[in-house]
Amino acid sequence: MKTVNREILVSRIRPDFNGTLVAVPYKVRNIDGYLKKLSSYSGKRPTLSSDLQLMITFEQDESDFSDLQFLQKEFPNDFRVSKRNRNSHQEAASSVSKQQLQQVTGRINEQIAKCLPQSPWSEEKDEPREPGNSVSEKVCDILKKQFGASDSRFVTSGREDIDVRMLGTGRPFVVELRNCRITSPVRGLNYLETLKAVEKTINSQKDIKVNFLTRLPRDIAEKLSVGQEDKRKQYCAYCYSILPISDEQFATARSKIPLTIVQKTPVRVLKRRALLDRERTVYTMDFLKLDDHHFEVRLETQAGTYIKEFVHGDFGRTRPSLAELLGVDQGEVDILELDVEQVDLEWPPSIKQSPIKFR
Amino acid sequence: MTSPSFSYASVVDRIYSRRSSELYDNIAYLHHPSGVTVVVLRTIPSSEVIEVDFGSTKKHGADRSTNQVSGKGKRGALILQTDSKLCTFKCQDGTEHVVRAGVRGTLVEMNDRLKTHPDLIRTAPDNQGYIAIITYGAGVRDTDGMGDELPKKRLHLK
Repeated sequence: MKTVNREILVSRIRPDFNGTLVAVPYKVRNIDGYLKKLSSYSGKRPTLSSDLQLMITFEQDESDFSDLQFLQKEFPNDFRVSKRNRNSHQEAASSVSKQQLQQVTGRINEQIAKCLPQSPWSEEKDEPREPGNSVSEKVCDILKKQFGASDSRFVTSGREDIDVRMLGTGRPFVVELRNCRITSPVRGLNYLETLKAVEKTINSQKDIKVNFLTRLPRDIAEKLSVGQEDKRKQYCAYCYSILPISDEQFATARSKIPLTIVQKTPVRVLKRRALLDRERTVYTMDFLKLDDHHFEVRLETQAGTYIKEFVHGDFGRTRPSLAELLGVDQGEVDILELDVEQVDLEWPPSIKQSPIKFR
Repeated sequence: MTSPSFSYASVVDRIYSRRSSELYDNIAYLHHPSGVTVVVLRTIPSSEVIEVDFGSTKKHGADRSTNQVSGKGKRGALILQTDSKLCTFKCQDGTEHVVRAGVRGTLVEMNDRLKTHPDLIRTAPDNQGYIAIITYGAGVRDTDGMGDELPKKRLHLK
């Protein structure tokens, strides 16, 4: 930027240079000048096949911070935060970024729907995705319309399979809206009211519910993805076993908890993940016997545990599996339904003092 | 909840497609739609299996069970041809059986529990006694060499 600036200034001030200056880049002109001097002093000429490399660095400290500030003030339109820099922009440019970023967060429940994928997804590679039929779309579409955003990013604390419901207080999520046109409803403290209304709109949809919608500054919102593996989740699974299970077997299994299990990457995700051994902890486990073959198990595990594989053993690649703990691994134990009861994370983070006032 | 029926599709049949092998009758493939296949034994020997051998030092070198793959792309995986040997197992009655791949792909994992518990291949062929896991390369979900779909096994509550 600085060299172009200089070029243009010089060409305007000194028309007698006739545009030669602009045609030949500044760097090259400098180097030419140096080369001539060098060859006249040493009698040698530059060549590519030499072992000696000469590097000439030009440092220019004329343009500096005050120049940057002047330009930002006079031409704010030209300062755009490019997509790549969204998360790592330099300090100087951020305060005048024209694109408004907003972070809206809350907790989300997928209560009724059992067939709702998190993001737009289709089973076959070439089938077009059914628009609007995913959790991320159901939430983001409404928010995008409300605030006139061009783009949104939906981030949650963990994901579940398409056939698993999220109950209880819900799963924490953050939606980042870019290029918001309609920002007055969330300026200052207005967002408290606006988001309540938005919450109602989203909840009027059949399959999902959100609550605790609030607005957060980016640095706090980013904490959602930090410390993923320390989180705990509670699940409730409805299972069956081919071999009958007695009360003593349930009691023996429960006595082994808390327990560390080792899971190899499940076969159903092996195509897109590396083959690894994962150690995870099961913190609590409780059984409800429904009959000799059916039971419900309530578990609290470390985040990142594959529950289905823990129950049926995944070809014996998850050890110990629930079947082993119950002593029925000659038969089979399988899961019929899985619900996530609770994601143990305090979210949105409680703001101790009065709610944050946004610009 | 509706009243429970007394037989269920097994875990494996619920998720995987059970296919025969075009080349070798003694194995079956449990193929996951994402593009991963688990090789399992189809003709179960009547006598107890006493040893499973993954690599023949005489002929083909490489001990299959020490095959280490890394990363999402499964670098370091052994490339399999249709007649690549996966393992050989010996039974109590002295018979020896060879298991060959039957498909072309890359070998991701062999069941090393068969080293310590060889009879699993006979008692739990669809579960802890699986033989190997094969995949096919980025984006490829299917391959030749797999025959028709075999009937699903239903499990009855005992």
